[in-house]
Amino acid sequence: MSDKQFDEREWGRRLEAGKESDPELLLAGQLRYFRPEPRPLPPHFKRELRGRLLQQYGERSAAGRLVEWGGSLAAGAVLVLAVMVVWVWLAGPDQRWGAATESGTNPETNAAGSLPVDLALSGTAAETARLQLELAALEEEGTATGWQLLALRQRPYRGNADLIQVEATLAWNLAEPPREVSFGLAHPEQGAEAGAAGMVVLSTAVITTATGSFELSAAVDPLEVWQQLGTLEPLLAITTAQTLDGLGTLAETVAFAAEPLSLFTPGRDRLWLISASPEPGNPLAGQTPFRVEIGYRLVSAPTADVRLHLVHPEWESAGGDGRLPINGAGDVAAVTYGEGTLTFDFVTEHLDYLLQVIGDRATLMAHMTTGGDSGVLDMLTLRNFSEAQWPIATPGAALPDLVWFNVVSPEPSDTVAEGTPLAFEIGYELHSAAAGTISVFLAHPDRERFQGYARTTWLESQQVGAGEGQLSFTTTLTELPYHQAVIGEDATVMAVLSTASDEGEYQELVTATHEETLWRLGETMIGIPRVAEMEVTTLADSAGAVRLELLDFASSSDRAQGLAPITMTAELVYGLPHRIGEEASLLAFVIPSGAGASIAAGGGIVRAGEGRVILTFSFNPWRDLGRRLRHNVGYELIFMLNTVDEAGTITTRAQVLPDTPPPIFIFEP
Amino acid sequence: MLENEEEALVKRAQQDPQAFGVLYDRYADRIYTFVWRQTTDEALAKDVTATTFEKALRHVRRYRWQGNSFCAWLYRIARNEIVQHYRRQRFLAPLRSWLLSDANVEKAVQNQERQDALQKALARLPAPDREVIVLRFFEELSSAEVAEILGCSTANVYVRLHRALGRLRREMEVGASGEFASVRVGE
Repeated sequence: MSDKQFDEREWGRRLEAGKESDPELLLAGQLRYFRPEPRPLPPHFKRELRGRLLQQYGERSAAGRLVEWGGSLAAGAVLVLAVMVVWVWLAGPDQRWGAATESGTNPETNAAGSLPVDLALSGTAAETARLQLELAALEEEGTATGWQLLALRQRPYRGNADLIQVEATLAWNLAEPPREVSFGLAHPEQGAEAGAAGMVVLSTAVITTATGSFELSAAVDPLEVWQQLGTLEPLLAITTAQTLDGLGTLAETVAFAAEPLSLFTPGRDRLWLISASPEPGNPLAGQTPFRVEIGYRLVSAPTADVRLHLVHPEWESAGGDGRLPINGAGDVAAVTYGEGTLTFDFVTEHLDYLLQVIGDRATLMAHMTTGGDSGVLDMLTLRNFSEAQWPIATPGAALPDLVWFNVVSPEPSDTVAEGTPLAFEIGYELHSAAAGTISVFLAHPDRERFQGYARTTWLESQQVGAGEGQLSFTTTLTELPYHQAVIGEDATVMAVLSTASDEGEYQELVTATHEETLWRLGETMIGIPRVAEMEVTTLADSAGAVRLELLDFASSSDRAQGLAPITMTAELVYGLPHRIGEEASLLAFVIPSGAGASIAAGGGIVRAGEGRVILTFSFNPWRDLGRRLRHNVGYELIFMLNTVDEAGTITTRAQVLPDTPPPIFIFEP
Repeated sequence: MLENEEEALVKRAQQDPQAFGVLYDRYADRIYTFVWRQTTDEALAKDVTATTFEKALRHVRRYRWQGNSFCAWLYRIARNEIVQHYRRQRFLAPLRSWLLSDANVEKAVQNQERQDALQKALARLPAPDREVIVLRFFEELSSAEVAEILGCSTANVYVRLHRALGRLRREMEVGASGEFASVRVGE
């Protein structure tokens, strides 16, 4: 598209709507998805700069007002004094704030008294490593009490766009510590009536300070929210439960602190063909009854319509020559958020009509849209099922070449790791040449959208002669990192029927993609303990709150070269009261930045009480993670204390993250 | 953050150091990330971040809310500081790639060779193209905020983005044609 013909407003509208209807917009979507991780300011420097700025502010404020008030020294002195009083009050002994802190031995709390406004707690005062006090926001409100939302952010979860990362900063200022607090999502219309039972819980913490703020960070499964709440625009909700020395809940309140979120994920809707009758390859001679089963996934809207069309396989690239989609291949199907299957029944038109409107071959095309009521359709996704084709019988005309998948193994949504056996049965019709080659490739699911950028990797080829037939391919996936590097983590399979001229010139005759297949390349190991040595020393019973603190952490190497494994050792202390559970699992996770899936580096069981744990785990970045850690990367390290109830529900009771885990630098051998 | 909430906070920050502290807490990391990506120099990024907030502090009383976020204003200050720095240093070459993750040039070059196709292609873009892409997609700023930072209209941002993305796509195709030649049918 040249800039002269370019309608920037229309293009901008599509960009803002998250559309991917042209190569530039598609690339924009990829850039959003692969956004590099932020690089925070070093904490020391950040704190120092903050103090310096606020000091300057006070000086400027005083000086500025002195000028404004015509050099009134008295007024200036009052102002400076007022600023100093505020600072002194904030920096003073922490009677006001420290009194709310349960642990009087928290060194961060004591040290915070020397800072003008930036109090920071971590770990010990509450059961979350991300708890910190922000006096400024609450002091601004003077005597205001209650909960306040300071920041709210949401975005697709890295590595799995079906999840939404919700991050929020919530502050409280209450007469008493809120104790057990659950942060979750609730239906916007039910409000406080929803209660804890009507909430999708994101995080739970025991908070022992009357004033503070909570950094909430959770990956939300919109499907769970949809199923539980019936909305994808929930409110952020807070449930606080006051407990009285193990006697149970004394009081419960629910506060709502945000406008509705939106958990839709643009650009990740999918349609795939499950089955079609008559079998692909059978010629259509006119009025033929069809039954087509289609799978769908809708994640960008609560409801949508799916329409099926009969089209020529190249209908999009042909303009004005009669290759038009035939509407009304079955009824319009209304679908709701989630995944499911649809069945379309229809009868094809007369042969002459098919030949005139479609051409010599027919395939199926489906699209998913919203906005039908307003008369303007908003396309969510469109899919050509070119893996299923039917020749349209033309007396005396040459039959078209065809290729299609009959069987693909493993199952469509399986994980395919290095060494996984792959099997295919492929049907074909070769009429335009005496001999040809059928090749099978792994392919990016949306490879058709990459103009001139074929994201495919070859698997196997076989020679075929003219005529109809069926081939069986069996192979084993090798060089997984190579496939991942070219295609990504999701792959489908593609068959190509090609031939070579007498001069040896390659000619691609027909291509078919098995849309149903969406393999995950490489193992994902979320939540599966791998390698760990754990040494637990139980020190005493714990009667207080759940806690988990990281005392020490070391990595064997911060610059692992080649294939060397990395060993990490962490020393932690925990407190697990009997009322919470008799045992809990202590897990360590390494999560590569931007890669999504985590390695469950390992863990073990700890008993109720207080204890000290030495956790040692190792992993081989190249072997275990393939391309994910092939280069210099950032990563997060998280330690979690989880309990499991009788129903099998896992609850994270405490977690701790080192502020700055050592970087891993890995270079390919 | 809601716009009216931020507007109210900025107004408070014009009279109250604590409110300015809240703004600093919210945006310091973002500004530092942005500067670091543009310069790949930690010390310089710290200096520019500090200068940005010092200037913001100096001028916050004169700041007038015009519908765009306070953050966009900070980005604009930071961007000007980066440009000024390179002018002072008489750097004639375009800014170094934000991709380089190591101040050590030799290592950085090694690392850059190992970046994936997208990052490689981004690195080959002219600085203005890369800047508009980084601001819009990596810094997650709205198009209106990017317009505010670059001093142009939103429509012009779309034109620049479209052009930059087109160039990026072509760079990726150029990079991909050699890399994938061995796996394409018949090649």
